[in-house]
Amino acid sequence: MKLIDEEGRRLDGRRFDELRKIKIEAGVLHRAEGSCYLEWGGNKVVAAVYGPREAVPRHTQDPVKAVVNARYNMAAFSVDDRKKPGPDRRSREISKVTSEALERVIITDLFPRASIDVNIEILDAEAGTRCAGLTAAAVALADAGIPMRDIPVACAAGKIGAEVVDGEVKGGYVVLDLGKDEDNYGNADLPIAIAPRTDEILLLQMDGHLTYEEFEQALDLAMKGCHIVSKLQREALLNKYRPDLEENL
Amino acid sequence: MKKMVLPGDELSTSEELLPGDGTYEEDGIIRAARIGLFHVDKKTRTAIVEPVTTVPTILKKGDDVIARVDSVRSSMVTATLLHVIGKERPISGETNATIHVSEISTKYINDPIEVFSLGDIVRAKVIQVKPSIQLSTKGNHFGVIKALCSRCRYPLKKKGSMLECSRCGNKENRKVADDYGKIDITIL
Amino acid sequence: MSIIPTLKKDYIYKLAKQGKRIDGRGFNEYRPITIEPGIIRKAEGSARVKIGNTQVVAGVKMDVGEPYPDTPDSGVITTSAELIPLASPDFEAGPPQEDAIELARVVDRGIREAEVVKLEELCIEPGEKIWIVFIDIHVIDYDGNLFDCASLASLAALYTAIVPAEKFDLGENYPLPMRGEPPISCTAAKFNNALVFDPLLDEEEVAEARLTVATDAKGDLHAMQKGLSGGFTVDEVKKIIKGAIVNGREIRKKLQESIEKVKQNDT
Repeated sequence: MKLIDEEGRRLDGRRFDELRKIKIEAGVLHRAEGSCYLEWGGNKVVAAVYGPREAVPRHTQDPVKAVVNARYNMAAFSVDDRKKPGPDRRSREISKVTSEALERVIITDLFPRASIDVNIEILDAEAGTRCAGLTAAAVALADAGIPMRDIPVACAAGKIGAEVVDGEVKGGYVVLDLGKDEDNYGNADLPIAIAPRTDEILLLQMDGHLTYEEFEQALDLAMKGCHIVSKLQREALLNKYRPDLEENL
Repeated sequence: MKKMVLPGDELSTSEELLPGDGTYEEDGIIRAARIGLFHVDKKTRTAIVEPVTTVPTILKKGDDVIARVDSVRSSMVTATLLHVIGKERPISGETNATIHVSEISTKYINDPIEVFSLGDIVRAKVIQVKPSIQLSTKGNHFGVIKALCSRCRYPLKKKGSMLECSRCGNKENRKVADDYGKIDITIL
Repeated sequence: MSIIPTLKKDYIYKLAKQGKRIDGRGFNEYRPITIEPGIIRKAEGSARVKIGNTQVVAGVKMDVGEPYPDTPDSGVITTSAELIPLASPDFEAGPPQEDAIELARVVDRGIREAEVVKLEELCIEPGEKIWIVFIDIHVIDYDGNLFDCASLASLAALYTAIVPAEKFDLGENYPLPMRGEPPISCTAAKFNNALVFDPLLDEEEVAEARLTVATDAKGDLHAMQKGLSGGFTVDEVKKIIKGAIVNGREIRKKLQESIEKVKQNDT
């Protein structure tokens, strides 16, 4: 499958450094302490935060800080072939690395013995759900008034369009935010999450094949993507709470 | 004018101001820890971010709470905190508390079993948070606000200075709050 | 106030005696309902339904499989529900609990017994190949009355679903064959001798008994489920059925309008 043409235009018409369309809305659920609805290309994600509340069972408590439990879950109908409900190895792994990334920015020592539960539901999936999920979770955490040092954000870059000639990888382009076919037929994917204020890397995964130079390009591109998405997160939060602000003035 | 800030936004240097509620300090800079309105308390030279969201409930000395009695022993009562009065959010941590026999009433109580029973719902004041949560039910407004008959688990009604079961007629004594049986839960 | 059930119970009972509910509704009145079919691209059919603050997303996926031996020329419906911890601080992760299973089965019965899905048209090769219709119910926000919200979402998803024949090299895609008008589930809860429709979570938590009734456009009954440890008098059951028929008519109209809208946009 030809994923990118000679002029650097991708299947869906994007340039190499263009994101898919992203829409973020903060505070969408009634029951949760904080929540977020996010559309990223064909991905639709809801995130909800509960807590900090006393962690149960008690043996999971940390006497000096809160534990952060992110739970990434895909709806059965969110993928081409129906997924059996419930966690699998992939979703457990994503939950773990997401929890760790979020914990880094949350000021957890304010809440000894508590858990902060972050639920990420993928309702519609189309490549890049872990980045979409973490980005939504960060907005939900802020919406829940959880003290944080920064609002984390995630984005991926990758490589598409390389050919293998006589066992040698030839050509290919480093691009931002892989779409569905790019994810399936591309050469590499590099999802990252950062704290945008310091550019500290909170999550980093990679699969595929990149040269060191391509990795540098991809990381740089993913960082740029993160900063664009970060602005959208901030706008979503300001949009939600600006009316309150005006009332207060 | 108060400015809307988001987590991580720079508010001031720590030479100028002290870090207050809703802020944190890092490398000599005071930053917002939550979404809210930044303002400076001029008296204390403190940077504060007034929240625009609900915020986690951190138990403080002086809070009025609702608790459920879990056990009644010879010198104290243990209880689980259910709710901090005036807060929407759950308590963000430890909820096991005790009421020492000397903190039950301004009157002398010999044994807590005379005035509390398992399952009673009480209004109490937090008098200590660390290292353990200690409550007091001294004062008219504190004490049991809801109790069930220890024989038949039917709600007890206030009758004179005692509580009476409207089903089996059993009479029981409690250290009751002044509004026993008349609680308006919408203001909890 | 959600944390002190025993105090809440006194308050809700007291209001009910005065003929009032905590949100000011009449005893037979539903909260505002919104139905949005077709919101999930990856699903063959889908809908988001909100009843007040309660929110459910249902998705229909289809696959080709083998028929049951006793119905060799008929398609199969299977319904599952997940009470995910996103929707409530009291829902836990893990395999479906009793509540989720009951929810799925009650929704399933309402749909199956009214025979609205033409299962006989979902046979590909008798005894060999049939279509399996998976209905998955995802609870997003829980403020009571999941039964009605989930069955509405499932119906809206079914009535707007497309059979993915192309994906399986079985010709062109076509709308899921449905017959007649949708059966509508209406739920009432009982506390302190009061019967209220469309119970809020706060009301469900103090309720003694609950009854869900699925009725069709003619007012005939197709499925019922009584829940919780309290009981109903015969008169109470009859009263709820009558209320379910009346409320069902209004809700059916709303559902049909939302389905029509999607069909018009498609053509």
